[in-house]
Amino acid sequence: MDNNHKKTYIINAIWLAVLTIVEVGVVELPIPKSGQVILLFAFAITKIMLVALVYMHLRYETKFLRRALLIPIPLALYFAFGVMYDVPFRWVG
Amino acid sequence: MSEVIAIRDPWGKATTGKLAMWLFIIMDGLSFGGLLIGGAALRLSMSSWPEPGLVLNIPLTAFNTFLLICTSFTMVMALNAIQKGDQKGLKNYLAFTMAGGIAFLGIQVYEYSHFFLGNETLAQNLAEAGFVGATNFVPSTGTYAAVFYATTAFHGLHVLSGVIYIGCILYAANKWNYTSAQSDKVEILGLFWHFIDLIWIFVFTVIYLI
Repeated sequence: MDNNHKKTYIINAIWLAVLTIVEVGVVELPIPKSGQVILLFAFAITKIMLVALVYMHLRYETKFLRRALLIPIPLALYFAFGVMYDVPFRWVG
Repeated sequence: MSEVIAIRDPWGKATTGKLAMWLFIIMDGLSFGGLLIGGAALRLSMSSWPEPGLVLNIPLTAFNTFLLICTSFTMVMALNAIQKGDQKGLKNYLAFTMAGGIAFLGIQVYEYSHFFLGNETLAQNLAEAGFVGATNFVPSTGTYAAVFYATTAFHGLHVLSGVIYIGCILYAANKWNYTSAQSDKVEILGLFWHFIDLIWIFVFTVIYLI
C-alpha cells in the first residue's frame, strides 16, 4: 500500500474531525450571530475543499474539469439572489 | 517537414463514467442548493427561528458527521486497495463503509423516532423554541420542522442509495474478482459517496448549527 497516500488520507480525516469539533464550539462562543455564521461557513467551505481535493482527487484532475465543476456556483448565487433579493426591504406589518 | 502537434485532452484521464458521475453530482448539488437556499429564504421570512441546539441534538449529529467522515476515509482506502490489486482490502474497506452508512441511517432514524414520539423534555424545548402546545416535532409542527425534514430526509435517501450502490459493487467485486483494471468502478462509487459526505457538511452547518 502507498504509505504516502494513506498518511495523507488519515491526516485529512483528522483535520475534518477537528474542524467538526471546532464548528460545534463556535455555536457556544459569546460573539454576535453574524460572526458565528461567517466562521461556520468558513469552516464548512474548508471541510468541503478538503473532501473534494483530497478524497475526490480533484487536485489531480485537469484545470478544465475543475473549472467546469465551478459552473453551478454562480447559478446557485443567482437563485439565492432571485428568492432573497427583497430581504433587506421586508418588514413585519 | 511534418509538424507534430500535441493535443491535450481537456478532461485528462477521466473516463466517460467518471465524467457522467461528475455531471450527476453537479445536478444533484443544485437540487441540494435549491433546498438549502429555499430553506434560508423561508427562514428569513419568519419573525423568529429556534436557537441552535434547542430542539435538534447537536452532539449526536456531530457524532454522525464524524461517522460519515470516517466512511469517506474507508471509501478512499477501498479505492487505494484495488488500485494496488488488493481484493481483500477492497472488500473489507467497502464493508466498513457500508456499515458506517447503515449506522448513520440508524442514528437518523433514532433521531426522527425521538421527535415523532415526543416526550416531556422535547415538549419543554419546543415551547421554549416558540412551538407552544406541541408535544412532538413532526413536519407539520412549523416551517422550521418542514425545512429540517425536507433537507435531512433528502440527504438520508442519498445515503440509502449510496449504501445500496456499495452493496452492488461489493457483490460484483466478490463475484467477478475485481482487479486494478476495474478500479474506475470503485472510483465512480467513491465520487458519489464523498459527495454525500460533502453535502452533509453543508446540511449540518446550515440546519443544525446556524
